[in-house]
Amino acid sequence: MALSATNNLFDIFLLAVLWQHISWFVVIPFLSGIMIMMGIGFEWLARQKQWREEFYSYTNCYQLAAHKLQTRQLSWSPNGHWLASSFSMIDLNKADISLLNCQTRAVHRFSSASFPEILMPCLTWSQDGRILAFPGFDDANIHLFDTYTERIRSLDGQTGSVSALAFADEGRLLISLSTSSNTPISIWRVDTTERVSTFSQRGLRGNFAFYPGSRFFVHPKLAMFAVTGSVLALVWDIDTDVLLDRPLIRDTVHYANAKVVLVGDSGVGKSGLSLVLTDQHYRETDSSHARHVWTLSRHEVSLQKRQKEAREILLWDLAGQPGVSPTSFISTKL
Amino acid sequence: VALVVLDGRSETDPFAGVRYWERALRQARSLQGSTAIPLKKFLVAARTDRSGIGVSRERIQALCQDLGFDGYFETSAKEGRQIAELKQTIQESILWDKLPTVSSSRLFRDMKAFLLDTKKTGRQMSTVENLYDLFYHTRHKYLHKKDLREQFETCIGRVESADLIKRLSFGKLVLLQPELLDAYASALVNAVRDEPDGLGSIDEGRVRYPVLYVISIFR
Repeated sequence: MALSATNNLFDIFLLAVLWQHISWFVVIPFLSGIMIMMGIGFEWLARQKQWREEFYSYTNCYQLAAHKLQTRQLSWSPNGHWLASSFSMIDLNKADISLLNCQTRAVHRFSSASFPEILMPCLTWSQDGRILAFPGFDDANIHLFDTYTERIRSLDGQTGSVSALAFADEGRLLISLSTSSNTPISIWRVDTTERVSTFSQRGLRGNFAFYPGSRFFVHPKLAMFAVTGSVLALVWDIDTDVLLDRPLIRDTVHYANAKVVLVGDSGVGKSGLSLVLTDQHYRETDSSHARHVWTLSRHEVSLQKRQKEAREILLWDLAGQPGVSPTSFISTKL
Repeated sequence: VALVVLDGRSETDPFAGVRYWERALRQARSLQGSTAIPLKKFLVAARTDRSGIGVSRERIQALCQDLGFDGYFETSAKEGRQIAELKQTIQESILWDKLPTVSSSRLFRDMKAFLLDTKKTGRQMSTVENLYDLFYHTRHKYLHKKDLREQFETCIGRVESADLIKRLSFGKLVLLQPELLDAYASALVNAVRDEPDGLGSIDEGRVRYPVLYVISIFR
C-alpha cells in the first residue's frame, strides 16, 4: 500500500513537472490569479477596517456633541469626499446639519433654531460634489456650503420654508420649492447667490398645486426639470443663458455679520466698555443683568460684478451671571 | 471675537473669572465641530481709572500665554484709555472671508432695519398688526407688493431667530426688548437666593407680579 502510494505521488509529481514544462503560461497566470485574489481580499479587509474607523469616529463625534439626536438623512457627495447628515433634536425642536470630510475627518456643524415637523431637511449636492444645499429654517431660506472654500452662503428673501431643492444645468442654477403660496418656485444663480427668477402659483396652468412632499426631478444633461404636484406633474425647460445674461436683479442685497462677545463677571465694567466701543457717551450704569446688542461698526465693500456687501460688526454684551452655565447661550452667538 | 473682561481690583483672585469665562468659550466652541472659524480672544481690564491693576504684568502675560489670548488691553471707559486701540484690533481681527454671507432682498433688509429701529426707540411691546401698519404707512415704495404682510411676518421670524425680538405665545404680541425676560429671570434667581424662608423657595405672588408688570407696560 505504502509503495503504491509513493508511486502515485511520484506519478503526480511527474505529471506536474510534465505539465509545468508544457504549459508555464497556464501556471503563471494561475498563481498571479491567486495573488490578485489575495490582494483583493486584503484590500477588502483594509476597507472594512477603514470604514469601521470612519464610522466610529463619526458616531463618537455625535455622542460627544449632543444626545437625543435622531438621524434624518445621510448623503454622500458625488465625488465621495464628504458625508452630509441631518439630525434633529426632538425634545428641543432643533435641527443640526453636519458634514464630515472623509479625508481629514473634520466635522462642520450648523444648527438651526427651529425645525418644522412636516418638512424633512433635504440635503442636495451639486453634480460635481462641490456645493451642498440645505434649507435654513428660521434664519434664512437656503444655505449653500462650498466644500472648496469651506464657507457658508445663505439665500434669503422668500417667505415660507423650503421643501425641495435641486441643482440644474451643471450646478449653475439652484431651484427651490417653498411652501409660500405666492412664489412656490425660485431659481437662484449659484455663483452670485442671486435670485434670477420666480414662478407664481397664478402663472401655473390648470389646477396644479404643490403639496409638502412635492419633489424635483432634474434632467441629467438637458436644462429641464419636472415637479410632482397633487394633480399632475409639470415639466419646465430652463434657458440658462437667458437667465444668466439677465441684468442682475437690483433687488438682491448681500451682507455679512461678525459677532463680538463681551463676557466677564458681573460688575467688572462690561456695560461701560460697550457704550464707549460703540461711540456712545460714557455714563454710570447699574448692574444690567441683561444682554444687549450694539452695532460696533458698519461698512460696505465692493465685490466682483458690481456687487456690494455690507459688513457689520455687532457687539453682544452678555450679562455676567456666575453660577449659570453660559455655554449653550454663547454657542449660539459665536 | 471674544472680549473677556477682567476685574483688576479684585483682592482675592482676579483670574478666577477669566478662567471661568475662557472655559465657557472653549466649551461653546467645541460644540461647533473641529473646523469652526478660529476665535480671537482678548483680555480686557476695565475701569483702570479707578485704581491700578492689582496684579503684576508678568502674571497677566503668563495668563495670556496660558489661556491663549491674542492680546491684552488696559482700558478705561470713563477716560477713553485704549478704547480706540481695542476697537481697531477688533476690526482687524475679523476674517471676513471665512464668515458666512447672506444674500437677501431689499425688502427683507428694509423690514429688518425697521424692526431694529423700532426696538431702538425703546418701545417694549407691540402687536404684529401695529408694527405692520407702522411699516406700511412709513415705507410707501412697497405699497404695491401683494404678499407684503406674509413677508413681514417672515422677517419677524428672522429677527427673532437672531434673538433680537421675541414673539410671545399669546395675543400675537411681539416683545421688542427680550432683555426684559433676562432681567426678570435674573431677578427671580436673586429673589430665590435672598428668600428668608430658606434657599430655593419663593412666594408665588412675587413670581407672578413681574408678569403682570410686563403686560401692564403694553396696556
